[in-house]
Amino acid sequence: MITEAATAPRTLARRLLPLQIGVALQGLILWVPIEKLFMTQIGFDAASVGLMAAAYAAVVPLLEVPSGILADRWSRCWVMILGCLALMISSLLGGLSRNVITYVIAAMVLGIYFAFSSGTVDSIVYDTVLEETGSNELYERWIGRTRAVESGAFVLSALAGGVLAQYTSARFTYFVTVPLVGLAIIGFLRFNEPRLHRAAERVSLRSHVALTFRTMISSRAVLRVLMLAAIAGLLSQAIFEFGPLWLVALAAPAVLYGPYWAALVSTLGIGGLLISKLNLERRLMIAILIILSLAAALLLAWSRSLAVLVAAQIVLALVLVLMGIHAGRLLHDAVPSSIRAGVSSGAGTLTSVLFLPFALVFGWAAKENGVYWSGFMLAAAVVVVSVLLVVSVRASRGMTPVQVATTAKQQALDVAGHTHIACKQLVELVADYLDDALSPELRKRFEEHLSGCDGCTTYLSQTRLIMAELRGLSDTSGKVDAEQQQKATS
Amino acid sequence: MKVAIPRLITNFTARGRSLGSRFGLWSQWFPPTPTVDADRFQSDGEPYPDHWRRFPRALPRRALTPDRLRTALATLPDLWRRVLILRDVEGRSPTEVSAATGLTGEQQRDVLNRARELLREELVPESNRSAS
Repeated sequence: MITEAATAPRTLARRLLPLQIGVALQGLILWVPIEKLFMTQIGFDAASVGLMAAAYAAVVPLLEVPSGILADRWSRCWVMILGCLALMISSLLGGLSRNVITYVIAAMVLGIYFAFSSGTVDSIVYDTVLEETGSNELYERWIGRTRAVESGAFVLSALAGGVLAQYTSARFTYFVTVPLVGLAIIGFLRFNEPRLHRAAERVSLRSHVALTFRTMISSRAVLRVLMLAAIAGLLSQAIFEFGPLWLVALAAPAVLYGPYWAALVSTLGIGGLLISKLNLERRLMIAILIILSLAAALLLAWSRSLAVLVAAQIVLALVLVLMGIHAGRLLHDAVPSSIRAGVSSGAGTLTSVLFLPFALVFGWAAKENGVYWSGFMLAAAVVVVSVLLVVSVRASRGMTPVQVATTAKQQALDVAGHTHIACKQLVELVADYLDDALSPELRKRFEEHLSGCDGCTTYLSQTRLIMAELRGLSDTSGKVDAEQQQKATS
Repeated sequence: MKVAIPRLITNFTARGRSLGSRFGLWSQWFPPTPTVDADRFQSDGEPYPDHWRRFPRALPRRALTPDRLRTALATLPDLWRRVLILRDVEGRSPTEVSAATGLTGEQQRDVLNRARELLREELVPESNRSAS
């Protein structure tokens, strides 16, 4: 209705282009597939890999909230650019590293990059779509395209990184990454950032967090699904973080790391496609997934064949993606919509918190007993996930979302339902009163209060005055919409 | 990758679904906080709990010039402004606004109540929330 010109999708595409170029370039982190190989070369063992993973897992949740605030109050694009700078510094520092300590520092700087970039692109795309088209309908399509560009870049960089490492050196891939990310910054600089900001969100941050937290611990069902999502996430993270150690143990050639990593990364996309085809509510399907994941984890503990190990990791990663997505859905269904985003980011944070000790123990165990032994740790975690999954799926049948989020208005209605209305409740019901949407009984109480309260009479008459003047705006100029839209954009 | 991956999965499912549905969009903009700051009402220990601590200040008509109204409108969150313009400026019916925004009549009223209050706070000088 607002500015739905026919040209909107085309200008939208043109406007989002530099952003997508930036996202693609920023995804070309060439050293990722051979990172573990390089780390082994400069003196890492499994225990120090665990330490690095833990240090790095600690940085991300710490910085996520400040980065969100920075993005809202300052500029989302500049937060992305800061993230890119952190990625450049981290790549350079990593490439220059000759010992464990400097590399751990590089990994922590990389944590800054992830904290700054996670979710930021999503909200940039969301606001741009809203600004260009006046509605969020095209959001799904554009975020899908942006993700496709990003995953394409991941796969490409996995393959290219492996080849590059084979013919030059592992160290070289770090240095090549730096200028590519520098080019990504140019993309973000050329992007015309949306000016719409979400003032309402800031006001409610604290109460929102409190409400989210209360919901998370209020019911056993929610807590169980939350743990399921977190542990499934933890396992995925463990595969991506420690999986290459198996290849290192078997002294696989560098060029193999590329396709291996590409296959591992592509399980994310494949899982997303598969999930719509499979019905994870069915007992048989759950049983198959559990058996597959257990078998894969145990193979990681027993097998010494490169092909079997790689296949086992890919199967395990894929099953975990499926379970993770399903856990996300269960979580989604278990909480009221107003706090869903908060709860799922809570699951993300919980994953990081759990991953910290897990990574330390995993690394230590792998060092003491060989990486194969750690396969048993994975198997144990798979058992926990399986039990939680079975119980959650069974409990979720016919479950309705828990009742938690009582808005101020709901409270007002509750109070007004059985006693006199006070001013605090009246102000929540003004729009309903003016729209004549209150029940006759509530309307009577509303008017009763009004007749005896000067404050509320003033309040209501001011609201009416504002509405009358707003109506006048359309007479003075027919195109308030366009002007408003322009004012918000300029 | 790495840490980001499990997060991507959860975010993907959560966002994909909640932003996809319009209810999710609405709930994003509609926090469970009260319309008017709780501070403006007396608390339980005071003589008149839940009644105005201080009556709303007068709103002089001259405060409501078209320019000031437009400036105030520009401060609203996008969705709120959109609903307010459709309903209060253009005077469209709730059904029409439902078709344009996907919000139910009840959701519209909740948004309108907040949006009008935000406008009022923007326009009434020395109103509590904007002063603090």
